[in-house]
Amino acid sequence: MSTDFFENWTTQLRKGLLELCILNAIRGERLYGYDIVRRLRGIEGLVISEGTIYPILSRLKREGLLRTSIEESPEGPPRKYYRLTGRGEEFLSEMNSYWNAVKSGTDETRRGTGHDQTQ
Amino acid sequence: MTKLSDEAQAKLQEYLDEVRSALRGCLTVDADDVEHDVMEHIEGELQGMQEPVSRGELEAVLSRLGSPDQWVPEEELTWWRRTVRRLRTGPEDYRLAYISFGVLSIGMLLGTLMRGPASYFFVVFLGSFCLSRAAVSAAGSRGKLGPQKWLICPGLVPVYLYLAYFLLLFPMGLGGALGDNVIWPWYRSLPRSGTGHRLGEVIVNLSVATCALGLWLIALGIVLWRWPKLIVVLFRPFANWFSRKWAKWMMLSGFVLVVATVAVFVLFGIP
Repeated sequence: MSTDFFENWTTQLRKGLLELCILNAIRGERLYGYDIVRRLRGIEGLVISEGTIYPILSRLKREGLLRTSIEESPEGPPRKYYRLTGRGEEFLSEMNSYWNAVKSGTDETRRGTGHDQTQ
Repeated sequence: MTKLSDEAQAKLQEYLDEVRSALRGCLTVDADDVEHDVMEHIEGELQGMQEPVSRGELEAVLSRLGSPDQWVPEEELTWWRRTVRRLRTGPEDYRLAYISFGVLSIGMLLGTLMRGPASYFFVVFLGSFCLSRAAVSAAGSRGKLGPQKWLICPGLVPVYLYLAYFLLLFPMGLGGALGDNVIWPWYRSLPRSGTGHRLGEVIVNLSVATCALGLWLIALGIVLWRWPKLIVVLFRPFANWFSRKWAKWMMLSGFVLVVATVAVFVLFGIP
């Protein structure tokens, strides 16, 4: 497998996974951007450029999946906190179900236990 | 706000300019939002460091953030931002192709609007042609032109058409002039040629022109049979199919034209 092919493949895979991980990181709490990056940077191979996360946050906000609030911080200037909207919660549940189905199917295929459902 | 050294402050400003520039043409992102987040991120990373923070320490943080050009996928940019990004970051051979196309299209547009002289268009065509040939050479080392052929061809085709016309047809003009100024007056001076009418003049001139073309094709065919790569190099990348077989066809066509002309001369009684 050529390096170019592998890099292209990982880039495509990361793109969707990053959005899923960002939404999961925020679920149930409010976090500011830098906190989200700190949580995700520990996942091996997920975050290549940390700055990539911020345009995704902005896009998810525009899509109505996230909302922001500016709050005072004891450690410096006011911080912008992100949290899921109701629509974001619903969308995330669907994304997680979809991901679980794909992952379990992929795992089965890798173990060689997958079978044709039509037969 | 963490205090930065002057050099670090200048670097930060430069980086934020890059961020704004990268996000300017993005339709799905709020640039102010992102800039705010990036500033928070940098502040968070620098906390606890000895002040003023040096340029090197700041650069380590910026390096983990990555180049803002990579943050937004191309499909989320407006078409003009995509073009600018490709010009700035594309592979060298693609940059040449874009520049060649740009020189031709912008040059033609400006020339037409401002009614530029012929010499202006000549320079535009020549400039675009040279850039296109350079792009062809650069792509040649990679093995194929790929989609950039659509950017390169407009710069090549006008010059190649002119060259092909010159190579194949210019002897007809020379032959026509020779017929008009030398052969036809000589033919009329012959005692048995009569007064000479308009049709005769046309036939003689056309025959001389065709004969000149035939002789030229034979000569050209001989040269290209000896060095077939001449055409391949001259008309790259359109003439890779050219081989000695085509040079032979050229010689044969020239021979047929010369024989046909001689037949016409004989028919009209020209000694």
